[in-house]
Amino acid sequence: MATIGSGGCGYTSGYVPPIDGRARVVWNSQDSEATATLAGGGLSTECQAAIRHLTGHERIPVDRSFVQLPTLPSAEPYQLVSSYRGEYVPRYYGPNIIVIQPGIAPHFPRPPLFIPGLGRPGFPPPRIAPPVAGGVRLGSGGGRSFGGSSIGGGSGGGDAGKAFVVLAVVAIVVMPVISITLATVRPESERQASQAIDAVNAYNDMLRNGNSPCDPAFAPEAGGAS
Amino acid sequence: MSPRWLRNSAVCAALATLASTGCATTQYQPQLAARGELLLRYDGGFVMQAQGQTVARALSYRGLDRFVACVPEAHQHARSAQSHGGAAIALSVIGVTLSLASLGSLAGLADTQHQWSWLGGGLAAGAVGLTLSALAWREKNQANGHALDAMNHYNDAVGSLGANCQDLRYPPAAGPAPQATDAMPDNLPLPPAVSPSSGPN
Repeated sequence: MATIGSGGCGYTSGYVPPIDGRARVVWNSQDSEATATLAGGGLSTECQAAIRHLTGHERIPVDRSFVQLPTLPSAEPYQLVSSYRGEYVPRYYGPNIIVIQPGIAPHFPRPPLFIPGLGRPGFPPPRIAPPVAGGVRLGSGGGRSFGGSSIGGGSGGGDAGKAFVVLAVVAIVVMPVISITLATVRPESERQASQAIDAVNAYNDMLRNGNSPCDPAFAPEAGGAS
Repeated sequence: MSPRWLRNSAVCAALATLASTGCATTQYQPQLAARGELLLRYDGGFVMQAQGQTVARALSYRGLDRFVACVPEAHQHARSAQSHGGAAIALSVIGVTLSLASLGSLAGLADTQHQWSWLGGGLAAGAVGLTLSALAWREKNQANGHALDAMNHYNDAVGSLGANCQDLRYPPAAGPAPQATDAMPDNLPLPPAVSPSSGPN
């Protein structure tokens, strides 16, 4: 239990997402949760509102914080173009990819880009529009924690034996409860994982669909950094 | 404090704990997925899909290693995810079994002659069960983390680019990537104009 309490039960990911404009769900090693990363893409206010419209979620978990998604009543809801549905052929920018060793994916010295401008210095400006309602630090609502039961206290006189029996009985009853909880409950926050996955899927769909408020080349807003 | 009362209390507490955790699932169905791209869903655990078919799901992540076999780094993470997931399941089962068995030691309350033997055995079994469940918790985190890394490494090299390990053919590039020091190519969209008056967003 001490190991769990100290956070030593997590997985430390060595994965570094390339800056190619494709959003991903990554493992946040600090709190052992799934979070979203935009990998160079922007997150304007219109983009945030579109993600909220598509997913219904109020926030996106990003690295060690949340982005509160606004509702923009004046904004027209974003619609995916129906002709794109079905198999999507990705548009990437870079050299054509040639497989040298059959059955083994080639290694890319520079990752192919899904947003072409990402290769130029200063474009796009790194930006996440400031949250409308303010960010929320992780740990206040997204995760779960389990408190161990404290079994302690002393006893005196001739009642010591009975007190120890009571303590032993309490321990025997409580330990299975904690054990079953640890064994059956998922360690990740289900809500946070769902929010991150939905946001990433909606974000990538909008970028691939084109004319997206999330595309740095088309978004009406510019500038701003978080 | 009768043994029956204690046992009922333990069961109720466990059920209440499970019920209070709630469950959330993903609501958005991705529309534009590249051929071979692994997409993530959450439905009582992480679920990985490609072309509408489930490839692997937590905690076992069975099948993930085969699907990402052409990307060595992803394959390694996938195998780790599967081994940690299997360990998590095994440890959970043994831990819960031992913990529940420890409740049987409460019968010692009625056996005053051997009361401490009963209770001592129960405490030991409960402690071992709890330790195994705690280890299972750790293994679950390891399995999920490795699985997400496997998916990301695979998508970076293969899936998001329109290929898969069974048919490792990539579509042609839409255009060259701009060099960091080069002039902007003509066929690429212009960056957005940034006016000094526009505020930060």
